Amino acid sequence: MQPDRVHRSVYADPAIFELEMERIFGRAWLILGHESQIAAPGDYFTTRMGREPVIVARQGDGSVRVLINRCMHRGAIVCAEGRGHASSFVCPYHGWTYDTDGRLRSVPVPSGYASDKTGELGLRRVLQVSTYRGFIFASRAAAGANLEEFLGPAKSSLDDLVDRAPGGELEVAGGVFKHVYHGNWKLMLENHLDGIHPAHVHASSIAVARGAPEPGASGKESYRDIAIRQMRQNAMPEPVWEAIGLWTTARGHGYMGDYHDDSRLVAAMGNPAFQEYRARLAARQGEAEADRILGVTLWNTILYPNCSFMSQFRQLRIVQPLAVDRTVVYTYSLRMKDAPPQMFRDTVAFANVVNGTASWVLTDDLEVYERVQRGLSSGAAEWVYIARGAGRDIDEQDGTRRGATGTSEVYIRAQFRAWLDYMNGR
Amino acid sequence: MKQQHEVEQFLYRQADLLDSKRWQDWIDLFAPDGVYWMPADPSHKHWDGVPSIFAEDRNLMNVRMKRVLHPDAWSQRPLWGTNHVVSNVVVQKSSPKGEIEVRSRFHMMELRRDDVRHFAGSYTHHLKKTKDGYRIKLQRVDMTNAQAAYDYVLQVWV
Repeated sequence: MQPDRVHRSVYADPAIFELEMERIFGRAWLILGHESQIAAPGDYFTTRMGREPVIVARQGDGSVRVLINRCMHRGAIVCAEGRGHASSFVCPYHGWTYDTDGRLRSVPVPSGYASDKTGELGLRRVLQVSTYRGFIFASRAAAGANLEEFLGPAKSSLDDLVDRAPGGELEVAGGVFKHVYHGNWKLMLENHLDGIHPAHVHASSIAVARGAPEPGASGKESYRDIAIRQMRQNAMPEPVWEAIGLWTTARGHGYMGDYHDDSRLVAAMGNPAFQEYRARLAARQGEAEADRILGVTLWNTILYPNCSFMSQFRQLRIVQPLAVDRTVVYTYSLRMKDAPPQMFRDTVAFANVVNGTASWVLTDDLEVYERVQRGLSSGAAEWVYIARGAGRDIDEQDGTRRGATGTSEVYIRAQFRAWLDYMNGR
Repeated sequence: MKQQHEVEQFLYRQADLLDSKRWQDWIDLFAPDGVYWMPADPSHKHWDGVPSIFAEDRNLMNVRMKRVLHPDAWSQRPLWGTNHVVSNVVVQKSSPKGEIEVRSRFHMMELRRDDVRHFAGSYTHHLKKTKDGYRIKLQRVDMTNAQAAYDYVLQVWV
């Protein structure tokens, strides 16, 4: 790794991938989901932290516990469901039964063991679990930065996401999109703040959006208008992309600002549903605070190493590496409680067209990730060039590093700075 | 028997138009207010208000068609094609006004570059008889793997 280039092996070498699973995904704070997915005691969902299968379970006292999903007897996954409600987790192999807090409740024929070890053979716990404004994070590091220190200035993006809900509450709603791509996990995180690629990768959807019927006037929009507006937005002229703010943090997070405001995309200020939403926000937060909240123009945010989200349409994507060249992405839609139903319809329309399993936008991104992966698996050329804007990055007062322009590759350099720290045990 | 035969022929033609990439002819099978819907979750009852894999009226179908036909639709550039088989056609409801609901099963093999994928599931068609033959009011497509992680994504209707 060098200041303006990265060796292709970090994307293509299985040995480096194994080290990443241990040193990055085995230590960093990873977002696992949202509290609304486990509202009641006994509710749980399963996911992975790098290689480790885990169960995220709501406890009787309201706390959240993260358990390693592996029987302490012979090692089988004890819970194979994606989500559900349970009073215990029972291993299918020999019936070892665990309470939802992980304690070993019983084993069959306990007289077969010379001594009673049930006290020490509970499911292993991930000790560092924390939530920030409803989002559940966990870290397998024995010690280290707490969640807020880890998030750093990127907290402002999560604040923006949650502040927009009139009652300050979000919930995961309507199910999840899951897709796999044949590329390294880093490729997606390096794409979501990239201001140069839309005009090229998304050329086909831009062209068709330009030729589509004009979106309706405010209050008369149809379901498809969000899609048309978003795809046209991808074709903003270069000076507009150049003027966008791109900030990064020491831990590799990054976020994009000034990409659009509500009037430019769907929820136009004159829209009756949006007016009602704004009124509810103002009733809860006051006029000045409502103006402040809606004046925030953050767009995509990357929480390194496993999350990408955006607040305008409340989309959250969680990245799970499967292998050096295989990645699965979970896409969630978040509903603002106490907002008019139309606001979630907008979320749905955006999700279906931009992030969904049959979207017109995502499909070409994935094609490109796969082409990159194929290109990088060959050794004739060794380096990946990440020099756009290099040498001109701006260190800001709040500890962020900003790209000199909105098309800078500062976010990739920031991700690799964090990558190197993790890989070196820092 | 006549109705069963007509409906079967209609469903076979629907699938054949997809496989022959005759997108406009396929879209024209839909009524003016027709909807193509592939739910993300089998428990969903209506396309409005929940995230869906597809939820498209004719306007959106037109946009998708034009995107697919664009020379810079990179994901379409590698060799790509499909082959549907439709079977198990059962008319569920039939009204004297010519509105019928029919369930069937499909299997689709897709080739993309050098990779083959297989998809299967059920169709629920709400059809209306017109002077030009049946028109689709709703084509609901329940993929058997709707909730599994898709290897890559879907580009065109199933």
